[in-house]
Amino acid sequence: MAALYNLYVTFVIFFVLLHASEASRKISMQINPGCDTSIPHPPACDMKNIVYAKAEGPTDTIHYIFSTIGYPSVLTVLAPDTSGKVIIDWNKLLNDTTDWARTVNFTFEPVYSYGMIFRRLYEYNDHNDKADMSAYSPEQNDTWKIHDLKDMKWQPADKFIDQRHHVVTLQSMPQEWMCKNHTEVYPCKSNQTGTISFVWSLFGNNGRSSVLPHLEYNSNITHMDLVIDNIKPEYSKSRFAMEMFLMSSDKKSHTQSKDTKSIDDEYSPGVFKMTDWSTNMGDRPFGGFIQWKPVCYYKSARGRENASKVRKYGFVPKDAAAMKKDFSLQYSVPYAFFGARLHTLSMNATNVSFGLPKDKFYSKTSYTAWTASVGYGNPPVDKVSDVITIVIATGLGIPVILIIVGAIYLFIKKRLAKNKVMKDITESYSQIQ
Amino acid sequence: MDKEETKPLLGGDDEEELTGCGATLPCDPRRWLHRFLVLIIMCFLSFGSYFCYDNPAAMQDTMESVLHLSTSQFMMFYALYSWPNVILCFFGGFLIDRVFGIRLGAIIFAAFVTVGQVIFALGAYINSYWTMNMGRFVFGLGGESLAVAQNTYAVSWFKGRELNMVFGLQLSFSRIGSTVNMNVMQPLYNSVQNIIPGYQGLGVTLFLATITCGYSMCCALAMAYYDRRAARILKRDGGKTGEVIQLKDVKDFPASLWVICIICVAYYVTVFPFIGLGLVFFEMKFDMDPSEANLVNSLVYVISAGASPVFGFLIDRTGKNIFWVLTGVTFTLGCHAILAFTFVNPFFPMITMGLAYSVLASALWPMVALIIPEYQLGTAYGLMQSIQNLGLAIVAQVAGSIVDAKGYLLLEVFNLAWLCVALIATVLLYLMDASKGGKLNLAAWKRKALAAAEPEKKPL
Repeated sequence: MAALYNLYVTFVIFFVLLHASEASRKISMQINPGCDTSIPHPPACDMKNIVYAKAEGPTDTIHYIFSTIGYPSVLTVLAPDTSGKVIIDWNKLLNDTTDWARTVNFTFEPVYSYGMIFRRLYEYNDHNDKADMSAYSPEQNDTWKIHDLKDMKWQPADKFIDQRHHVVTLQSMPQEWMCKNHTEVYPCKSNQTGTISFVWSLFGNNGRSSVLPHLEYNSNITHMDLVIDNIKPEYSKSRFAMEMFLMSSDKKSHTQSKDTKSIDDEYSPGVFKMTDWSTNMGDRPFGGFIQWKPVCYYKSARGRENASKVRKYGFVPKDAAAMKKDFSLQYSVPYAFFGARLHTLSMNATNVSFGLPKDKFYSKTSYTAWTASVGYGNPPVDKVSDVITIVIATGLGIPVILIIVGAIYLFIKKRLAKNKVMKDITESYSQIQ
Repeated sequence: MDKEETKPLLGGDDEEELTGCGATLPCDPRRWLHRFLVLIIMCFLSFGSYFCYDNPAAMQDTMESVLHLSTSQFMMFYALYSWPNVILCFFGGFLIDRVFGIRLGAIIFAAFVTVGQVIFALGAYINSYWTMNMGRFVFGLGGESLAVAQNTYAVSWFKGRELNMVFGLQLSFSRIGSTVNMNVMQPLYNSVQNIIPGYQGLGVTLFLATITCGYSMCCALAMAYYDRRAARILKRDGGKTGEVIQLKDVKDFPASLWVICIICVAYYVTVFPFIGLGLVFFEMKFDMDPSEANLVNSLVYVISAGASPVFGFLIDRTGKNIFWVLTGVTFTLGCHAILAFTFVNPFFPMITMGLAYSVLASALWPMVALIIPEYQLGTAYGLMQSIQNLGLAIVAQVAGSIVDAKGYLLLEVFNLAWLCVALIATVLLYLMDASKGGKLNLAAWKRKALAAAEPEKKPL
């Protein structure tokens, strides 16, 4: 009986997951749900950001939490129906000294959940200008500056939220960047004006982004733009890299990455590759993923002439033993949701670095922007568009047809001429006889 | 016996007697060694122009930072050369045919090149962007027309003999000039910087580059002297019909010339703009680092520098120019297809493209000499070069826009379409030529036999 029930549940889950795909969704966004700003919490929750978004489909709902509490992160939870909501224990979450486990809960039993944590922004001095941070050992002098993202203060999310287009920008506060001893009031007078931003965009249906690199999206995908703007570099040859973790509630899976190469770069001129880092291959055919093209831009007006490369490095699996020793990730919303289970999840970490050799480093424009798709399901695959196919067919097809027709015409003409000559000769013979 | 009785009865009694060193092998225009020594002078005629043409590219970063230029301001140095030359080299060719003659024309255009480069250097010395632009414009007035003069000289000295190889060699020298420029100018500037810093140092460096133009000027003067001497000794003017070109003759140019111009444009627009945009393509699609990508990108130039004279020599021996043109176009078509649709290491297609380009350049340009009489030749070459410049200038912009909007795959498809046009034009040329007796595609031995048979037709 229990076995039959398990089978039924698995079937339902499978059915839901299969249909949690490319349906049209209604999106709503809310900042700091359940936080009553009239009650004075020490510290107040308007200094913390939880952006809660619901994407309601016909049969299920995806709940997103974009946050800068602790480490910047995204948590995605799949609900089997449309009625769920999140319940946050603000008292505990706003207190840096308590354990944040299970402070973020949902009113339903999640079908699937996955998340990403962005832990450190690495700044490295690229002595040999190869844009490869693995060339430098961690102990090397005069090479590394590590920006731990939980030390940052963030602008309130309602300053930069666009409810109509479902876009929210989580931007760091510039003053805190260089300060070592920060307090809640900002006495630290630094002339640092730089910011780092995470721009999250949600979509209700399918389409393709209007901004380079024109990544495809559907209703199960959110686009993330990472912008490193105007940071004063520590070294003369500074370059940046981002450390990120991808985790999911799959029991048996491990994350894997796939690079696809294509001859077609029509959507992102000059970029022929796509990287998919997904959490699937566990007990279901698809799961959460992050997808990106290895391109970043060093001007906010993106174009091929200001494109640079994104390099990815090896994936480091975080097994339970390693995770038990590393408590840093407990300062994050995914931990607030998963609790102690975080240490048993399948989790991998990797770094991506930005820059191309000989591009004059970050300080050339003091701007880097990178876009990625974070979503659920099968990562979209770029196909050669109809327009290009038609252009190739006509542009090459017409000349080929002309050549073939011309060759046939010439051949026939020659045969006819030859036949005529033969005919004339045989006629003249017959006249002789 | 005195001289009177040893003189041959028929003709030959006004052969010039060469005396002293004029009679030795290298100085006798009737013999091959003199022709080849003059060939060296002929090749260096536009060396200065090719060297200085690419000075901006060799020092782009320096110029942009020292003179505080944006990339589009920098590109003006090239636009001011190409756009005026869309019309100018046609008129330059016409002036050579009608007004100045080849000797004075070459000297005048070499002077424009030198003066233009001096103004350009002066502009850098006083940090005046507009003076530099004026310098480039004057430089352009001479540069392309000087190339037309060089082509006309080549036909005059080598028609019916080693013309294909000579064209190949001239192409070689243009590439060598450009490569030497790329490798020499930046280190030269770095040394000058130690003594004279800033934009003044840049000006001095560009003045030093003017030396090559001065050398070309000397070559133009030398060519004028040797050409006049050879014309006198070989009695070239005796064969001239006394006809002079009129501007309206242009519309009577044979249709084959126009088809050759189409082939020229349709082919060249798939090579040069592609190399201009190729660096990022090789870095991104084939994962090459910048120095490797630079090497692959420059393969076409490097290979054509070496292979053009060799292929030219081969084409001289075999003839059948149209067949060689067809080969060049077809192989380039294959190369672009491989670069577009596969991930094969780009070394192979680019090397092949370099070879195909050498073949085509050596076979295409001499064909004009086979269908246009000598007194119209400067104009014909000027026309061909004008059309080529127009095509390159327009397509360079279009290619950049295509890549920015829709990527490299579409650019390659664009190139393939142009190559198909070139292919169709070549086949058309073959048909037109075949219907008129097949002059352009003769095997070399046949061509020589026909040329030898002709003098016998002259009245005694």
